[in-house]
Amino acid sequence: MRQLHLSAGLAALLFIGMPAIASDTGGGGGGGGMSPSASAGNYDAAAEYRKGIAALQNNDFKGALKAFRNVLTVAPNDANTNFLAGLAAAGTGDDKAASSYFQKAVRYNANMIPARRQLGLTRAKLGDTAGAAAQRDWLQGKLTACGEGCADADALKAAIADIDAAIAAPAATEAAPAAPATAAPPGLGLMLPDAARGDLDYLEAVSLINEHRYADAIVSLEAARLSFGPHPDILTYLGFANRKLGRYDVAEGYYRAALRVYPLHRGALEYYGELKVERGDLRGARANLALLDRSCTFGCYEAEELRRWIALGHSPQG
Amino acid sequence: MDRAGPLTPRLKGALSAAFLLLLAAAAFARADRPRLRAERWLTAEARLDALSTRPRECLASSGDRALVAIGRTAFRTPALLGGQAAKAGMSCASCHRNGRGNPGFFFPGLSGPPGTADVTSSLMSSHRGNGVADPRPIPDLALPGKISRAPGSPALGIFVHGLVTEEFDGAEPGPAATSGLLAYLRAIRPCAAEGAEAVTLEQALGDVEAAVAASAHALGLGDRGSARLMLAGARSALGDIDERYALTGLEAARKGLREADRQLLDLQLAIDAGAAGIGKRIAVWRLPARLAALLRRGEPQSLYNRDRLARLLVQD
Repeated sequence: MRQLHLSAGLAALLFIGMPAIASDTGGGGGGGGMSPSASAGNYDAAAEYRKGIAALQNNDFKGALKAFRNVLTVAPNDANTNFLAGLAAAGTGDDKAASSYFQKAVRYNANMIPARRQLGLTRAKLGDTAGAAAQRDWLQGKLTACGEGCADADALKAAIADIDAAIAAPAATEAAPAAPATAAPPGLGLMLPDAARGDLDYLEAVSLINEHRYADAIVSLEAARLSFGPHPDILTYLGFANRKLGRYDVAEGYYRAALRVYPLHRGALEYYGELKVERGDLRGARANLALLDRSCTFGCYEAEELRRWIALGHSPQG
Repeated sequence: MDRAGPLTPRLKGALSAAFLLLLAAAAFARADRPRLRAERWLTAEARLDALSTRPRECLASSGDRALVAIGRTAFRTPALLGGQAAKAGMSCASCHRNGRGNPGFFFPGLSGPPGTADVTSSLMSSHRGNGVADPRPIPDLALPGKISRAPGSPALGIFVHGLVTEEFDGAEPGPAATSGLLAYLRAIRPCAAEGAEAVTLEQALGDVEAAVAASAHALGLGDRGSARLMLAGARSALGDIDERYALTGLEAARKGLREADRQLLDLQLAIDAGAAGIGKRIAVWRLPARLAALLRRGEPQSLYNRDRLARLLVQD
């Protein structure tokens, strides 16, 4: 994993607040046009994420944990990566570390049911009945609010039952021999996202965006994100869809996250520049365009589109 | 030429420094084999033949050749299209190689069997999605089709306009580009002796020069947008060459190509700025002779060499 430390001034200029990992200049990152599985290799973080999943599938928990830790250096707030790092840590037998990762996963995505479940199970295993019960109660509250007919009802009930069972048998960790140092968490295979499925989710999201169904697109993008982690194409489109829903601050967060993964990502530079135009920050938009012009050797659509926005002072569509 | 617009010198300096740092980071690129842009929409089985040969191109000898040249460049320029197609680097020629078909075309989410594309897919269009996966065979434009190409018929113009602005979400093309596309489409003919021709550096160099000449012509017609598009075509053609030189030992050629690209970007920005004498600057622009010679010397070592290309493609 390569890291590049920028000075504070430059980091602010480039929207980068932490070490950045850059990658191949070939694809350049369009925020579209290619399936994430095809372009993941262009971005270290996305490639490491898939590497971590592959290691988990092979029960190589140390390798998986190393890969996910690499991802977290550029995307520390990524709930999926923290969740998978937790699974890897649990596999190595380090339940304290696992608990910490699961805790972060639910901090960054409060509605992540598998992470709530794993956090509850891990806290129970560590003898923290209150901590486990807290997760159980959260899940129960969600189920009550959600109702019997909601899409997550079965997952919520199963998670509650699992945590209840773990709380009911807290002494097992004391009475029974310690678990093997490396053991796959139960149901690990079911929790690991599939790249092919992720590609379909991504392509569906792009289509939904073109149909202006932004809320639906976000659901599909989140599903794709589970497969590919902090892939900048996915983050960029999450920013775009949120921007179209008027959530400018959320959108900016995603654009910044994409640029942390790959500071020259074309799609993120373009869409972030458009957001700046919408906010009246033409100077900032021109800074993005300058980066695009200097990085888009042989030209790119993203630079031309942002140039049109800047020239008009608004969307070319009116 | 001043093309920095309102950026302050301090900001420009900071951007330059930042950019150098970013390039330094990019230099630690993940080790991977070079990939040609067109690989993205070709089946693995079709890649070698489709990247080393293409159908011969035959055009009617009558008509306005300068206008046909504008259309020919637009047809090969991703910037004509918008949205996902342009971002993926696709142009009309991606589906219609030399104006013909492309039996090896396959784009995930858009194609059914190879050689087909769904022209009513929301993946590429924010206007034409019909919610149904209904890919159709890509037609050979040298053969008569459903749309009349008779000079007096408005059907082709309506079709092409809808294709660019709706099917692919492209911006409204300039009048010269539109007229040129129609002229080019009307000029495509079956060849007396059909067959494939090798993809060569010489053709690509010709495409660059033709695109720049087309830009000068469009500017002479008073169409700055089309002139700009033609330069985008020239830059894209330079990129087509560059990706075939992405091999050890050919770095000097790539450096020269990037410098030439920078010159063309400057010309584009001069058009935007309404710079005086820009028509003359475009008209006299040529690929530096030293660079052309360097490229020709390196061609046998490049991915224009079918054997080298074959060795590259089997690395997957």
